Amino acid sequence: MEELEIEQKAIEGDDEAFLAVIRLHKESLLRAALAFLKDEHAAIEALQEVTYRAYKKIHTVKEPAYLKTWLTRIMINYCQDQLKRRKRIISDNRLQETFVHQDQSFLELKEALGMLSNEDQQLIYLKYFQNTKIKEIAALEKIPEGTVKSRLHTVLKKLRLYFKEKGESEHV
Amino acid sequence: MYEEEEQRLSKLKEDLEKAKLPLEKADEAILKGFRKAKRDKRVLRKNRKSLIAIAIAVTSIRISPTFANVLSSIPGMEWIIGFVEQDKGLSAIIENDYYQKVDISETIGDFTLTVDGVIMDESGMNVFYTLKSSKSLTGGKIKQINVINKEEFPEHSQSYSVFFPDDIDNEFQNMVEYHFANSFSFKELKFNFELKAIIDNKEINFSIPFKLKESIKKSVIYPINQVVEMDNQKFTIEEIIIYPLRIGVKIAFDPTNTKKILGFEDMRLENEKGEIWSSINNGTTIRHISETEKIFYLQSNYFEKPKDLYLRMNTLMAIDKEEAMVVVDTETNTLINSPKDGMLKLGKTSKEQVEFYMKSNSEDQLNLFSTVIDADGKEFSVFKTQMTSNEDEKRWELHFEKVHYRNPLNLELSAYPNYIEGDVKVELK
Repeated sequence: MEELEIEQKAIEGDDEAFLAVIRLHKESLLRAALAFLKDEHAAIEALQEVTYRAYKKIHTVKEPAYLKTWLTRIMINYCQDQLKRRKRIISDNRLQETFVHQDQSFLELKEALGMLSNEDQQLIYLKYFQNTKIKEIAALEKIPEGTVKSRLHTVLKKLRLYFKEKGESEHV
Repeated sequence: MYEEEEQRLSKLKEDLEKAKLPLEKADEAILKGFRKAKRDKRVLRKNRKSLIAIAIAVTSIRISPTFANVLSSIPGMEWIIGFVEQDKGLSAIIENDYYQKVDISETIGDFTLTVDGVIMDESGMNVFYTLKSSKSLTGGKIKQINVINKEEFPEHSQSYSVFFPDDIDNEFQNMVEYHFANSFSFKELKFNFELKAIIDNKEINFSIPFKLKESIKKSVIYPINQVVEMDNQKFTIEEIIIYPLRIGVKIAFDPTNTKKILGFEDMRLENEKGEIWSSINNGTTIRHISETEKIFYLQSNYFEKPKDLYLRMNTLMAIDKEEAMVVVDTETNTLINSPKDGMLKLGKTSKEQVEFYMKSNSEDQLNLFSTVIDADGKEFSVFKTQMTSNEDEKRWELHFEKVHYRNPLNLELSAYPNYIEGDVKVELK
């Protein structure tokens, strides 16, 4: 069966098709979970929860081609909620990274991303880490493409400012 | 313009892509999430020997293409979609033209009642009807519905909506469902549909005779008698009966089991293509023949012609037998016995009510108890259970109608968030 056909059936409420869709996208979902939660166990839990949430809401998806991005957004929202909760419980223990080799610039970038709002983080993730088309982001957010572009522009500007300030303060 | 930032981002992307994914656990997590969502969709009702009223909530309406075709050929039937679209068996009945149109009306004053149509088989009958008025029906309700035949109806459960929805205008369309305990056929298919409605404090009595075609489909019986096991709990799949309206799976539990099976979370029929027919979403899901013998109902695949057919299950709701009885003293506010996991806690108690709560972030609506037995062995039912839940806690407030009882009370668990897993696959054909 064609991918889009499965996605259409999943939206129509076919259980088998639904499972097939989630299995099809499990890698990119887990990757998103790891990018935010940085912990395998939490990522697996996130995948379970996203499956659960997606099943209940999949009938609301209008465009089968956007299902992957729709799922990724559920995942990011879930991860951001989890991070908020973790912050409440464990004050600040987030330096435990699972990536082995990373130079200073990566750490800096992640720190910078951490400063962004949830919406901006989601936008960056979809655009740069999952290569989602601006048209698709616009359709899912129900905003014009021009708005997506200007939001991206603003976020990149924020990142540049952050690096600039950081660079300056380190020189002091 | 922001090449440098974009470059940094794409380097980070590469780095993220190197992360090892816990794929070996992914499929299990997907199934768990899926099952949890399925459980939520299910409405468990039991012991419906007597009349119980239910409101059927129609949340979303999606129409398959075949379906739309059939419906467009029968004008005025669109509303029935709400009842049948969430059940594969009912949808197939419409698609295969097994729904019998009746379309007979009676008018009393401003009100007209129409019996739109009927689906009947050896397991029961669903009667669809429409009540119309020139005035608003808001605030009215159905007092009683009875379908009469010359012969007495067999043992059955009946369900229908009592209250008109708030947003009702001057038309109320609904279904009354009769579910026979055992296969049954009437000798003559002449019926009388009697409906008592109360509108504006006035009682209106309708009585509409109707006749059905002699084309009631016979059930298909698969004798199985196979003992299966999950987590050391044995049970026998005795037989599977396939009717157009539903599938009955008769199961006998081994009395020596250490656990009491409270529910089959994902019991389903599966054909050679992996298509599944799962449990009934809205209607009777289980019938208790005895403590050890029960019938579970699935959505029907009666009109399908599968090459292979299997009964499958992987998750059972179960609890150790010695933990299945929660014992409470409502006067001293003590929880004398409860499941060992300690999750169930006792809240406020009085002679009239008992409150339980549990830390839980699941969205499952579990109806924990149904019957109560007092210290003298007198059984009475829970008059009303009020369930409330927030993000991380659930509460149950049980109200008793009868206050003359002797403590302690024994409350038998009919559901509890404890599951066993396994893989049962039984071949039907």
